[in-house]
Amino acid sequence: MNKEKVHRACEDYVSIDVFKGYCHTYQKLVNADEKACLNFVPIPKCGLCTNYQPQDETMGTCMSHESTFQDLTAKTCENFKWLKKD
Amino acid sequence: MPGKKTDKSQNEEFFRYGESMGDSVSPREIEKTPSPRAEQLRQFYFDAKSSVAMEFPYWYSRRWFALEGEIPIVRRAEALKTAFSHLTPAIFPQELLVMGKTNHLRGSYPMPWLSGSYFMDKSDRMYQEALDAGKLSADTVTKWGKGGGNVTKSVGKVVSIAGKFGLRQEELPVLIKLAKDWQNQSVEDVGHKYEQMVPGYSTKEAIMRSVICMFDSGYTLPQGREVINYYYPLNYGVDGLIKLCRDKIKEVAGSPEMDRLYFYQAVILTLEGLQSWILNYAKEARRLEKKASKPLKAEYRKIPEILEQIAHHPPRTFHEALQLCWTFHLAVLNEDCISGMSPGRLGQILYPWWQNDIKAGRLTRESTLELLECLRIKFTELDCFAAMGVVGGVLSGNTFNNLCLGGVNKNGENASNELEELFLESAITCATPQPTLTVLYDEKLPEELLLKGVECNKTGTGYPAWVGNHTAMEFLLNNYRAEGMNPEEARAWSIGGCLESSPGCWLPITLENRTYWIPGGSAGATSVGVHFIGLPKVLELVLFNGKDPRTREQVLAPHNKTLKTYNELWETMKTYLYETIKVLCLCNNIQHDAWRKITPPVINSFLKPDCLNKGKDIGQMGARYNTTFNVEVCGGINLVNSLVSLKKNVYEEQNFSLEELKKAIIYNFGYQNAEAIASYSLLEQKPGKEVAKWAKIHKLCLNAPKYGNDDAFADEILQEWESWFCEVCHEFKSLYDKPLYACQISVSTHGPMGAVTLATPDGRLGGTTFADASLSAYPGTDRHGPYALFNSATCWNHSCSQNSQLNLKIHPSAIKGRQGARKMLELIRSYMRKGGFHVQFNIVDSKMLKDAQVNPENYRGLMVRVAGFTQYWVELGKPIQDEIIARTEYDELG
Repeated sequence: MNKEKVHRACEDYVSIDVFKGYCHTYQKLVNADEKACLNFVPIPKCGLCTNYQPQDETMGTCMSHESTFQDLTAKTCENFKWLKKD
Repeated sequence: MPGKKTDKSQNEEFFRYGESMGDSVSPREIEKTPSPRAEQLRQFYFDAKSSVAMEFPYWYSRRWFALEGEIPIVRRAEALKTAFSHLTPAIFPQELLVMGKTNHLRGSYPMPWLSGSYFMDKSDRMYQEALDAGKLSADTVTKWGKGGGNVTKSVGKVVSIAGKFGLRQEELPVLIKLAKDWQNQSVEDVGHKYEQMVPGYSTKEAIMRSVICMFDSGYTLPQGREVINYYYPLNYGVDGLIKLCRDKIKEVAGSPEMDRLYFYQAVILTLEGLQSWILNYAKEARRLEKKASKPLKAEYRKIPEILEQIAHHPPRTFHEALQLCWTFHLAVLNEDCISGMSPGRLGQILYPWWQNDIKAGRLTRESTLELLECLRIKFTELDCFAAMGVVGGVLSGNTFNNLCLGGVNKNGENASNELEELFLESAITCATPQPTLTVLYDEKLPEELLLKGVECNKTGTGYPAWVGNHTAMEFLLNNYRAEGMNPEEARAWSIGGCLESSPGCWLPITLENRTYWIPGGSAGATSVGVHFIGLPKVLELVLFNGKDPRTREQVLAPHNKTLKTYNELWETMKTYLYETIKVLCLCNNIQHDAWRKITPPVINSFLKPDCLNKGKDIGQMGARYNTTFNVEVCGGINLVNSLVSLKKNVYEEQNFSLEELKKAIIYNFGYQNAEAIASYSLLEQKPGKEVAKWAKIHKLCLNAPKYGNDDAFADEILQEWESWFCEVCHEFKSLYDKPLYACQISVSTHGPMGAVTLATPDGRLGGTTFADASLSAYPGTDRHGPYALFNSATCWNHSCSQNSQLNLKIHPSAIKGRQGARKMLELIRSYMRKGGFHVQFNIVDSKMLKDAQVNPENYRGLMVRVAGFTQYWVELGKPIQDEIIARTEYDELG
């Protein structure tokens, strides 16, 4: 799920609400779950971090012991390390 | 008098005083538009749904649980620091002021450390236990508006929470996990464990299940209904405050009263977290600047310059000062579940920077206006995540950030200034619900400001409200004298929340060699304790021997009295209400004690004088004033009208017996159930088959004298009620061992509390909404014009209560033009001079509201005044919409 190239997973997306947001690149409103454009740049999320170990579809652990969830944005996390940059 | 009577016209479903203004819908007289920038930002808001983000609760909880054994306030500060440091910055194009509660534009989040039961699935044990304890009963009778930003149903990958908020499906598991993690450790659970030790606790549960009281205090909205104080960061800057705390630590480490050490350490940690939060936004703005094209590039470049300044130092300019105030306002709101954190007299606070910028040519009136419009959008974006009964049943989705204008300064002279006029102008050009405005009316205020206020009223937004400066100061002096308040300090007051008189203080700011004394809040929450008792429901218990006929539960011990005389009935009413307040007060004290121990307020405390001096947080009485708990009541006018009817019909004229009346009440005077017909206005109730059987009694009840007509019979009962109630509140003590005081506002509680109350002896039908506010007449019963209403409303001394509340609905044509404006100002003056505390207006054609109810899609921007706050029509529940439509429309003011 974290590797989905949808608008809400893009660094240039800013959320208006849980349904939609604003694309800074194209300066327009976009739907959160729609497929992103070719300029897609993934935003750091726990699920994209080497410190993340999945436990099920949504939840996992961080640094082997702290519980976290894969959709958590990790842009401000000091320990974030890209698992694999698409 | 022909044309002067209040009547229901044949084709219209509302009451009117005066001649009809015709069939067509009259628009508002004043309509202006905001700057293109504010318009775009407002459009973003209109498009936004209330959204939940789990970042803050996740990081807060992660750090909290990692620090078991740490000193509680330090543990709390560490958790706050971690949470603030990890919030994802979200900057929207065109913003001049940045930062928000979450990464969603209209975002909020649960605080499971306060309470977790209400957002759990209804089948979950946590939810069921809370329901059994009466903690969620108000939720079950609360109705949301179906439009606007409310997410009332789950759609696609979005889950609807508490009937209002949207949560991404991906975040639902962590929401549930955190609620479970905090189980038995939250303020709600710990408080509940100990409140059960209060004698008569089972009565408290029964009271809550019957919705005689709206909600618990300590874990729902433990802070708010107060005035923030921006002075310390404005004057010292964040680095300065950290240094101040480090110096204090050197003084207190190892000395007696060690709690001061932990407090200062907690403040340092939290300030460091706030710095990271601010600087993360600065970093994001720099990222956007790199990618942006020319016009936006310059704007994005300015944002980090401002943020990097206020992250460390005092502001240099008006823009920086405004951003700082907004940032610290948000910081407090992110610390706790809060409604009614009011910015206070912001135009007077910011005036020094504004005056300097204007003199130096750094700012113009136009650029100021644009900034103030942006501020309005920011405040309007605020949401508060709480249980449905609280956010819907009480707040109607509003967050009550009240900005005050006028009043007098430290020396007792006119305190208004040109910047305040621009605040008013920005509310005219950029009409949004937040911040709501209040004029602290004083005879010393200039005519221009007052007329500007009237002009703003004419836009139909419902603000500014008008409150009597001297009436409030008298209340404050009486209430806080024992803690050292003097007349000079009483002048610094302001409204906290929708209408809570809150103490202030004066602090000096020196800019360019000139010293200004700026006002700011000086107490914690001034409206906590007993949150809303439905007075007509207590009278119902009196009539039915302590039993709730709706739930069939014995709520209070049977009084077993025959109620042979009016005096016996009145004494029983007082006894029942006393017992109700007593048990609620004791339980809420325990909840607040759990709150201050588990989640001590750090941010609000370092902002409030004198916490930094004392080294104590607000929960340890660090603030200057601490006599801040109250007893809130609702439905007062229906109670008074009911007592009038009982006295006249049952006891004096013996038109029918009490038993006959009780039967009529049980049978709802022969009418159908309001819930069944989905209408909550007296006007739209439908008769049942047996209406004729009860018609005589109903007519006598309706025809009994009513409050609002300068009628001595009714007004004496109001006086008697107020004299007793305002006094008896002082007999109860808060956990700070201070007496409680009376608070008489309705907010939105008159909807759900009316919904659970059977028909009342004044002729009101079962399930319909009570009269709003505390001194508004019941719709259609004020038959002799506004001045007669004012005479009734001011038959008692308003300074005995924290507030009183009176709403009027006026047709736009009644105050049209300059002459109309003056007429309205005279109306306001008249009420203030009589000692009235508060009056506010809906300037609207009732026909427009009816149309908006049928065609909400055409009215996304329509706002109305409810009771102490303005809200978008489409976001209000139908019981409140119905009540506002039904309110008497004044087509004439004479």
